[in-house]
Amino acid sequence: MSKQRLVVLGTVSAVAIFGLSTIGSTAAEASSGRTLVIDNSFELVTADPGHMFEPTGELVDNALYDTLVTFKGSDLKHVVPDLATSWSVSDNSKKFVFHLNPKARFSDGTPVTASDVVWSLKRMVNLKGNPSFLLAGESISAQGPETVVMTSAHPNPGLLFILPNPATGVLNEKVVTAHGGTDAADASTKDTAQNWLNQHSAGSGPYVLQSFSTTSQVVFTANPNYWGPKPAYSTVVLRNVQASEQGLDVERGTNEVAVDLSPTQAKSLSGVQLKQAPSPNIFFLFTNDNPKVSTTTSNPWFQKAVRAAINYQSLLQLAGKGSVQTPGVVPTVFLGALPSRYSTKTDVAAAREDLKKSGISHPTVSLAYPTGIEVNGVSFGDMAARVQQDLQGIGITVNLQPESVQVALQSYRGGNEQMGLWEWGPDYPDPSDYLVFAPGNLVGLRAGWTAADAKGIAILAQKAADTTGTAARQSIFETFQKQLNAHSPFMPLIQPAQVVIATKSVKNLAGNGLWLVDLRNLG
Amino acid sequence: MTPVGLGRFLARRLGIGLVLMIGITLVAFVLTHLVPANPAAANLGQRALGDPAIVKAFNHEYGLDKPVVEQYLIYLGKLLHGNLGISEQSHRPVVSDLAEYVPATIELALFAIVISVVVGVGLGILAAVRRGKLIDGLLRVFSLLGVSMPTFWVALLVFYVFFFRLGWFPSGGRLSPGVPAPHAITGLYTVDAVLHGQWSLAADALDHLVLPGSVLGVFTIGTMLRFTRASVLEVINNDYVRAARIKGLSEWTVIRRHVLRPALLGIITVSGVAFGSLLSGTVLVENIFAWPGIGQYAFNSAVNLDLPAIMGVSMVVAFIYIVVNLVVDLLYSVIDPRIELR
Repeated sequence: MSKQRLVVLGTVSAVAIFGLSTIGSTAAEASSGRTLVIDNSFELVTADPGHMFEPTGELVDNALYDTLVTFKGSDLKHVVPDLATSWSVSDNSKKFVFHLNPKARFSDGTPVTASDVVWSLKRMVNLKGNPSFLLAGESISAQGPETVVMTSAHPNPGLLFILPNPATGVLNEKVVTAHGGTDAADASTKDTAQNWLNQHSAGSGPYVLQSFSTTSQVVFTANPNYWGPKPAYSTVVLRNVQASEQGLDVERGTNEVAVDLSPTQAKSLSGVQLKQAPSPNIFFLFTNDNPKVSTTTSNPWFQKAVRAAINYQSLLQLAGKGSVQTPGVVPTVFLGALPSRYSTKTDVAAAREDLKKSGISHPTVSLAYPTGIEVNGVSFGDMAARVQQDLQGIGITVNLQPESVQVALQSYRGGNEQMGLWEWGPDYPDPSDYLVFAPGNLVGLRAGWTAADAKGIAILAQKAADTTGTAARQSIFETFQKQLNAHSPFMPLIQPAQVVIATKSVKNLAGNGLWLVDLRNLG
Repeated sequence: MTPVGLGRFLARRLGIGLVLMIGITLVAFVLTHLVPANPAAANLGQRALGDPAIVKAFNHEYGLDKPVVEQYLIYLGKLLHGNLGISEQSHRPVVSDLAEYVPATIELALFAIVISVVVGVGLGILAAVRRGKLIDGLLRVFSLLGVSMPTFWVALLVFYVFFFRLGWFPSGGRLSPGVPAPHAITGLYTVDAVLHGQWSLAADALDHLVLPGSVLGVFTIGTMLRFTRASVLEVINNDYVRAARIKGLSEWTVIRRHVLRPALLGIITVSGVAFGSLLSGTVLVENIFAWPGIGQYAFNSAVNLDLPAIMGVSMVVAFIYIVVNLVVDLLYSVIDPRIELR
C-alpha cells in the first residue's frame, strides 16, 4: 500500500477513535444530579443482609438498610441511634429494650415497625448463613409497634456493638415475604428471597439498589422516601477496581473515593485528600503450644524468647504510616484495648537469655503463612521474612512455609502449624470477639492451646464474657490481655493502616473499620 | 467439496468434540479433587465453619458428602440436561455466571484479534515487501518486543500513559460508571448497542474496549507480524509473482491477488491458535482493567475452590477451542479448493 494511503488510513482511524470517545463520554452524563464513584477491590457475595458477611457487602448493605443502632464516621467506640432513638440495658446485660423512631419509613413509604425488626433479625438467625452467629442465643420479640426486646440466658454486654453490623439490617417484611422470604425455623431451606434481594432492596436506608453485580459494579440511587437527611448524591456507583489502579482513578476523577490503598501507594498521590487510621485488623504470630506438633515451639522459654526478639518497629515501617503496634489482641480502636504502654518491647538480649533457659540447642522451626492475599496492603510474605530475620538474629532457624490461602487455612484451622503468621479481622467491634484467643477457644486451639494448659486464663476468659459495665469490662479485658502477653503462645504484632482517599470535592470523608467508608455522611 | 463430504466431515468433528469435552470434565474433576483443601472451608465464614450443622448443610447442598465417583456421575447426568450446577461462591447457576462473563471475554478477544490481524498482517506484509530495509528491521524489533514484554507490565504502562497521563481513554470496566448495559442480544455491548440503535452507548463501550483490547493484541500483533512476513517471503519470490509484476499490475494488486492468498493459510492457522490463547491470557488484563470476564471468574473460582464453576469454565474454554479449530479447518477449504476435508 502506498505511503499516502497508509497515512490517510491512519488519520481516519485516529479521528474515528477520538470522535467516538467524545461521543462515548457524553453517555456517562446520562444521570442528573451528583454521582459519586467508590473504588473497591470487591469481596462481595450478596446484597441480602441475612446472608451477607463480607467487607464490600457491609458497605452495600449499610447504604441500603438501617439497623437499630449504628456508628458515625470512624468512631467504633460509641454507638449512636439509627432506627432506635433510645434503649435501656438491664444491669446483668441479659435484657435490652429498644424504642423505635416513629418517623422511620421504608423506601416504599410504609412505616418501619417493631414487627419488621423482629422478623428481619429472626430471619438472619434462622437462615443459618455466615452472619447468623451474631445473634445466636438471643430471644427477640416485639412489645407493641415501636418496642423491640432482646433477652438472653447469658449476659451479652457486647450486643450494642454487634447490632450496627448491616447484616442485622431491617427488611420490609411484607415486601420480602411476597418474594419468598421467611423467618421461620426452617428458613435455611425454605427462604427463596436472596435472588430477589440481589436485584432490589427493601430497606429504609438513604439509598436503594438499582443494579448489582459481584464482579463489576453496584449502583445505588437516592431513596426518594428517606426519613433522614437527604443524601448528598443522586447516584452512587461502587466499582470493582484493583488497589493498584484506585489511586490513579481518584487523581483523575471528579467525585471519587478509594478505600483499599496501602500507605505506600497513597504516599505518591497528589491533589487528593487522605484519611489514615489504624485498621481494626491485627496481624499476629503464634508458636504451637502442643508438644505433639513441636517440642521446640511448646517450650515456654522459647515462646518468651520469640516474643522479645521481634522487631516491632521494623514491622510498622513495613506497614507504613498510620499503622500501630497492637499492645494486646484487642485492636487500639476498640473499647477494651490495652493501653499502649503495655506493648511488648523488643529486647534482643533478654530474648537470647530466654532461649538459653529453654535448653534447646539449634532450635529450628517452620513458619507457615498464606500467600496471594494482602491485608490493608501488607503481604504476609514480607512480614514473615522480617520475623525470620529477627529470630535468626537470636539463633533460631526459621524455615518459611508459604502456602496458597485455602491450603494454608486447612493446616491453620487444624492446629498443625509449628509457627503461624495470621491475622484476625473483627466479627464485630467489641472485645468479647477476642475471647477467641483464650485457651480452648477457636483461635487458641489453632495454636494448640487447650483449656487444660492454662486453667486460670480460661476461667478469666469466661468471667470476662459475663462481665457488664464499661469500666469493669475495660479492667477485666486489660487483665486478660496482660495474661496473654505473658503466658500465651500468641504474639500480637501490628494493626496496619486503613487509608481512604478521595477527590477534594467530597466532604466529610471518614474511613470506617466495619464498612470501609462512611457513605451516609459523605457530601 | 461435496455437501455429503462436508456433512460427514462435520459429523466426525462433532463426535470427536463431544469425546474431548467429556474427557475434559474428567480431567478437571480429578484435578480439582486432588487439591488438599475443602470447599466448605473456602466458602463459609470462620464462624459458620465452627457450626457443624451449617457445614453439613453446605456439603449436602453441593453434593460433597457423596463418594467422588458418584459426584462425577451426578455431574455428568446434570450436564446432559444443560445444568452446570450452582456456583459455591455466587450461589447462582454456573450457567448464569457464564452467560454474563463469557460474552465479555469474547468481545475483548474479538477486538484484540481484529486489530492484531489487521495491524499484524499489514505490517508483516510491509516488512516482507521492504525486506532488508530499515523499516523491516524496525518492524522485526517491534514484533520481538511485542512477544517478549509481559502482558501485565504492558497493561500497567498503557494504563498509566493513556488513562492517567493523557486521559484519552477510561480506566476500566465495560461502560462508564452508572451507565446501564444495553438489553442483551449477543452479550457483546458494542454489537447490542448498535443493534438497538444506541449510538452513544456503542461508542462508550468501544471506548472502554480500546485499552484492554490493545494490550491483549500486542502479543498477537508481534506473532502475526513475524509469521506473515515469513509466509509472504516464502511466496514472493515465486515465478508467478514475478510474472504478475512484469504484466504491469500495481504492487498492491500483486500482493492482494497473488501473494496474500497462498500466505493466508498459515495466517489463518496462527489466528486460530492466537484466539484460543487470547481467551486464556485475559486474566491479568481483565484484572487490571476491571473487565468482568471469564479470566477473573476462573481465577476466583480456582482460589475459592468453587468446583462447579471450575468445571464450567473448563468446559467453556474447551468448547471454544474446538469451535475455533473447526472454523479454521473449514476456512482452509474455502481459501484453497485443493484441500479436501476428511
